[in-house]
Amino acid sequence: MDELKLRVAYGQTGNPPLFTARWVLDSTSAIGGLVGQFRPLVLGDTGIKPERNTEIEGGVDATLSHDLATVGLTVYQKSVTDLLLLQSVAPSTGYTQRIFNGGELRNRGVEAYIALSPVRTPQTTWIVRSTFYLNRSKIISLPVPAFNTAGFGTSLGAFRIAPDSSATQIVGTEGLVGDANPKFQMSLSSDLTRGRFSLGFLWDWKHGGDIINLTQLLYDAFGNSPDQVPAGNTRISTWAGGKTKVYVQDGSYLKLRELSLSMDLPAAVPAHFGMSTARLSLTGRNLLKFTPYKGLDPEVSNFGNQAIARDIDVAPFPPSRSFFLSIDLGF
Amino acid sequence: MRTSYARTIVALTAAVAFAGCDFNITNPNSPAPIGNNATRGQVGAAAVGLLITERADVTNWILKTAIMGREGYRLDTADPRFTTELLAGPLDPSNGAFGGGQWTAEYRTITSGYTILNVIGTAQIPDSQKSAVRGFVQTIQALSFLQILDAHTEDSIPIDVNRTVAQPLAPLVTNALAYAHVVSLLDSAKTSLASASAFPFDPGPGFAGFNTPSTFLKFNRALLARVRVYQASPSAPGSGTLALWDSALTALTASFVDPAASMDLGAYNAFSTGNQDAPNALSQDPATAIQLVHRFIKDSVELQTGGSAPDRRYLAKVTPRSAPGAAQADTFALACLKSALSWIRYPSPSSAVPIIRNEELLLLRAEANWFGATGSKLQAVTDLNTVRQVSGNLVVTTITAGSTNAAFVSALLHERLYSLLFEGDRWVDMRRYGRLNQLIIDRPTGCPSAGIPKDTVFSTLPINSFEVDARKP
Repeated sequence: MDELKLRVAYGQTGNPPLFTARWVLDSTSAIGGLVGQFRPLVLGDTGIKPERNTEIEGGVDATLSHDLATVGLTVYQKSVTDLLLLQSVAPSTGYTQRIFNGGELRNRGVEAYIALSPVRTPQTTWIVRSTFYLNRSKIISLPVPAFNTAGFGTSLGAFRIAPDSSATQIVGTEGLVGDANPKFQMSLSSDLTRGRFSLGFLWDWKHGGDIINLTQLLYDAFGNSPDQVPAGNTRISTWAGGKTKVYVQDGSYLKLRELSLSMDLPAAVPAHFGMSTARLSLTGRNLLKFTPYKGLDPEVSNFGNQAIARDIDVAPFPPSRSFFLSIDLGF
Repeated sequence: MRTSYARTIVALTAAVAFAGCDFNITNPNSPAPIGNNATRGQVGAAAVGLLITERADVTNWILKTAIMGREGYRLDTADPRFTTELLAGPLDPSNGAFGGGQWTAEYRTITSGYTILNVIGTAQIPDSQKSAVRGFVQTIQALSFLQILDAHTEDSIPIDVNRTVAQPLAPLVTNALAYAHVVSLLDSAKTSLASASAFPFDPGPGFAGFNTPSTFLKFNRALLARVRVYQASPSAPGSGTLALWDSALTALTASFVDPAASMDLGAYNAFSTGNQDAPNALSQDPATAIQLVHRFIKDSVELQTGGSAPDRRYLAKVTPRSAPGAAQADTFALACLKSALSWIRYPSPSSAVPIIRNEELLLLRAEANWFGATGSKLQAVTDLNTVRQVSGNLVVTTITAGSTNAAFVSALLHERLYSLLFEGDRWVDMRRYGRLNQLIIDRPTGCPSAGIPKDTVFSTLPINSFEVDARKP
């Protein structure tokens, strides 16, 4: 062992409320050319405070066998208190949601990495890196009754904020039907350089994490699925019978995110054009995908990269596959 | 180095000095809710706001009940819920556009109304105008409660909702008590309107002819007549009570019912394409329409007097779905449902939607006259015939004062169907008379090719799930 480091860190940060949370205001609209004002859907709070984020993490980093390997492990716990919550309220109050401080969210997670350099000769270097991470969230306390948020109604899957539950759990007509949070994620990358050539790749693996596949529901509902008879019909009738679970699907995937091959041209070539270096690379992105997910792609974000509610699939644009041929010149 | 420290110290001192300032600026973007000492303009904006939220659910209600009441369909390839949820179920109580509807917008109207009522006493307008505002607000609140009651029959209606969010939620009461609350709001509004001089605001084009306290009171009484008739209907808690039919007749006398006036005389929800305004979502191009008419509407239509043309009411609201110049209507099919008829009830995005109008009042009067103790069956037949002849250009009805109640109800529901087509009444009417089981089931074995189970007929929407969830301990 060359080196061993132990780390412990503690910190607190505040997360300020949005501009609009601070006031109790009316909405405005018009009817027949007359402007009127009425209760807004979201009730603000003049006493709103920032939420408080307390994080404690500990870890170990080590370098082994003369830089052959570096490894690291981090465990953390993040507690957010005085959460800025957008709580769904009884509509008979005249509002649908209100902003308030309250409750506590806890995130616990593990992150690990390993980097190996099995070959280190002047002619050849090879570095392999792998990372692993998982996170578990839990609503520790909630000062208000549990409520649904985001989605298109319970029958089409909604996220539910409830005490002692994951913050990303998905509920359907029949109750709990899934969780958008993956069980764990891993990546593996490699960079091999030999002489003037180098070859690199990056694999991403997500295990678990459910997606609400409304795209498939739309296809099934109108008889347009490739497997309509009988699988699609079975799915839609199961759904119509009050089982949202059929469209809450495993979003696990294994993807070859990037593969690249590059070559430094012999010095004479750039020199001929009055340059010092020239590098030619061919890169492909999103080349391979292995997933049980039936939609276009398990990485959907119809509704932006939100903490909760991003994993809803309603006819999104899929990620594109791309190829690049690039020439880097140095003067 | 020294100067840079000095600069930092100056900057920090300035920051501390600023921290002592009051950063509680008011939001420049949106108005605060109406408060004490409101100006005439603030009162007006808040009052007009009630008409905006009251309007919010109207087209949704008409379309939804047209589907549930088998007046028509929405064959929408982008949303299967119009062909599954509303016909085969289950109704989703968490979605305001479907099963969970007729709740949020209505309570928004009602509570926005209380925001006004709570401070109107301090407003900078004469007392007689404050009375006018009270009468206006309570009438619109009653209209919103009535909309909630039309959609829900589970005896779980919060009525005492003049509360802050911090207070416990209003208790749930039965529909019978909620109807009584609607009546008390309308009567309280009547008292206020009677002592009012003028409205300190313009209620807009939807209330042309009903924009003074005395004429608005006629609208208020028209609503009361509808409430009384609904209360007296066979399926309602107060069924069989002759006094309810009689009080409907009393209310009608004070309303704007008039056999000689236009059938369209009445109060409306205005729509427009203007800035910040809402267009009428039910308007569509008939050639490419997806909001279509149930064949039952065509199959049961009568022919006009001395001719072969169908009922004039039908012709005004239904047209073949065809491209311009096409010889044949274009049948549109989806999910085992099909239609070749488009709605033209609301031809443009600025078509107004009736709240209540003369034609409905004449039919309410016919109904109350037939069943009421002080009513006259002859008058009931006369009113039916007025509607048939003036609005439909039909021959007189076969109903006479000696007909059975069942025969009269069938005739009444037929006239109400065509007079109030695509206005959100059919489903409620069939329920009032316990006839939901007579509605045509299009897909008795479901639609296997689209995986849809068999159709059913709903008698109520479920209570909105956000309301239910918030009440769980």
